[in-house]
Amino acid sequence: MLKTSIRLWKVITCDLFGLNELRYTKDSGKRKRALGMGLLWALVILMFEGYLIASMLGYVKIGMAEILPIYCYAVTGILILMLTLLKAGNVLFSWNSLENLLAMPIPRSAILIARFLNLYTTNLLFTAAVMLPGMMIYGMAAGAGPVCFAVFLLGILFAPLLPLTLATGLAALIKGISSRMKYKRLAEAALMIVISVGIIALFSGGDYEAISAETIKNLTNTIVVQLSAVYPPAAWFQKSATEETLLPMLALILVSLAVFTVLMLLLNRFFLPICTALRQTGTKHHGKVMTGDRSSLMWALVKREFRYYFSQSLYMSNTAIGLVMMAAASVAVSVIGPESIEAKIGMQGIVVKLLPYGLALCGCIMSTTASSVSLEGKTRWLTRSLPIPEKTQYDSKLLMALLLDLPFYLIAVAAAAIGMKPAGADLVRLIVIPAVFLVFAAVIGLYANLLFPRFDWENEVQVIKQGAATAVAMFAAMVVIFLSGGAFAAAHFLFPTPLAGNMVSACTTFVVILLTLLLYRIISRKKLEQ
Amino acid sequence: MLKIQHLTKEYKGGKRAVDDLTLTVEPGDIYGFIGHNGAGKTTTIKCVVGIHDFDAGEILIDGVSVKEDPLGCKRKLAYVPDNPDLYEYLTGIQYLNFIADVFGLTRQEREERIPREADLFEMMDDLGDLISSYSHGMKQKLALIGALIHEPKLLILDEPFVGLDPKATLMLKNRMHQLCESGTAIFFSTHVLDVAERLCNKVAIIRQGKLITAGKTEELTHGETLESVFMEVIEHAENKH
Repeated sequence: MLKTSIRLWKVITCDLFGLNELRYTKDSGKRKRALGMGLLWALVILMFEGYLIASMLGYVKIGMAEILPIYCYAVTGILILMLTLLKAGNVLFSWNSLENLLAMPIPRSAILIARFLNLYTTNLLFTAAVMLPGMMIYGMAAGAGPVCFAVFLLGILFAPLLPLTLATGLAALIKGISSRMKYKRLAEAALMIVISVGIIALFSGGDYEAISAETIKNLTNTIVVQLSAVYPPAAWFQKSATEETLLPMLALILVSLAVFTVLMLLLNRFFLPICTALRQTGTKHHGKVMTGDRSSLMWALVKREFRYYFSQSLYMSNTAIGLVMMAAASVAVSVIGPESIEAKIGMQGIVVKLLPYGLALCGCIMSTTASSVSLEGKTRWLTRSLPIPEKTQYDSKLLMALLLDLPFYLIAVAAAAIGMKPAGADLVRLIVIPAVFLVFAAVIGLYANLLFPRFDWENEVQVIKQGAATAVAMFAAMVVIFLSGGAFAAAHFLFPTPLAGNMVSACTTFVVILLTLLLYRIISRKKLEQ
Repeated sequence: MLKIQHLTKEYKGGKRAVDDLTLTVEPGDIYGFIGHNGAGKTTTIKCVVGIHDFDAGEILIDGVSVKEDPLGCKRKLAYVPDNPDLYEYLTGIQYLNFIADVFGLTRQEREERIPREADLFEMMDDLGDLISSYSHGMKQKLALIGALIHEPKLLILDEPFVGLDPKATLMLKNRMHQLCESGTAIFFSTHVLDVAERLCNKVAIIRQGKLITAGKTEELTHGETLESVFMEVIEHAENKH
């Protein structure tokens, strides 16, 4: 069975990042685009590694090298848990190719394991990207011996297993529950968002107030204790790496394998029923047909976009999570009160100034437009053969994204306005900045998707979670928000009068508006590749 | 109604899928487009309906170039591919209403035409269900209903009989005859030579992107079967190469 799983895994994984297609394609345009994307990814990875290495060296410089093992292990674990939760269900229980596979002499468990291994592969690469620099920096700083290096190498192999298993278990549970419901996609997306926000709240719930008063030694101990508390397996890894003993690491491996085995046994029992239940749709068989009211072309397209949106749980959960966080963060800040947060971080008046950028950051995590073009997939022939101008199609996707943003934006702004009572320029910024960035995120998302469309996907995950367009759009929106927010914060704190900050804020917002208009103009004239 | 003049289409990588193809479909024609797998039938059709651009030549629909006024041309035609991937998240009626919205049909036109076409293909009872619950044949029928409700001047079908049950095949053939009598032009690709012989007043045979022969069915066959003519002309073309 293991051999079959590995064969299947090879077939599934050989097109990871589109490498197999790139290898065999005769389309030079595709090669060029892939090269461009490769360079972009290389830049993102370089920046990520640069940030990681700089922060690790920073810890070494202030004498906190000891936290590096647990830092690496906990960061990878928590991120894998978060990121996998949103896609595991769709990868594991995907109906695509399942019918063909089930008709072959392949055990069901082999299909399950191959799909799990597919998830493991990408997470293994991510783990290596975090832990390898950690190993080198900690190894040199602490003068570590071979056991420590062995622990790190084993850590790279096994660190993804436990969070991946937990995320898979949770995702399976969500799929299992939602498959019994009438509105299964909606229920699934709602459960996914609730659990994701819950996990974020759980892992960000540490009280760091007391840390500033401690000595470096105590600080190190405090962080180790806190990371161990939010992610207990990391403590075993820490013990193994710092004390150079293999026993806790072996225990960790055994526990990971045991949890994985139990999950696979459970999933194997429920795999097919869940896949089948998710596939089933109710049929009415009635003779009465409501032909409905006439809609304009634009509204017909917007309605179609919304119907697709609410039929795809992965699409909903991945794009709505940022919007939910935007509204939830605003409500939370208003309920807790900005003063108590400012007292904790020791910076008076900061929350009301920076909240608009924070809200924009949450709301712009992933716009629907970054994947809505690619998601047309195999149905693309319809819009291409129907008399629909391309601009109208693009506008409908933008309109849908903005209509989706609107209620969350209104809740966020209303809650912040009521809770914090900002006045004058602060109120204007609270209203304008999130709105401008939400529009910007929608436009840049669409632009990125038109630049990097992918129609030949087998599973929506390939577009929504792994798509080049979503990565580019997310990265670009974040960079622009950080630059605008950073410029505003610098002006606000460097100059004594509020005028400087307000001027900088107005200028950066104006630049973002101009950039949005420019991108929209380019999009309006863009022809989609065939 | 449809004029294809010296159409040439090359795919990226240099493969010439259609090579200097010329043919004309008149109003009232049922025009069969015949060829082996990979002969260039679907590529030609996709160029006509605007899914593919083309490298050389001209395509005119009702005298209008598809390059100059693609939307105007698309308003006059309807297309059904060989394997219609429809919006699975919509119900049948939502899909038909979407098509009706795109073509700007009035409420009265919808209420008259949707039940008429749906009844013909015995789909009326299934229109309230999600397309994802449909079989391949039902999807094919829904795509055909969607193609017919806006009463196109030119109907383009790619392998329309694949996946249809015998009754639906007969219904479609009858409907094609009716449309042809009302002046609609039908251009369709097929592998089923018997059907082409009995249904089409004109046929064209294509091989490796080149038109081998085209004309009125009875003039091409001269009392022989279309199958034997097809094999003969293909063999002749192969020998020439």
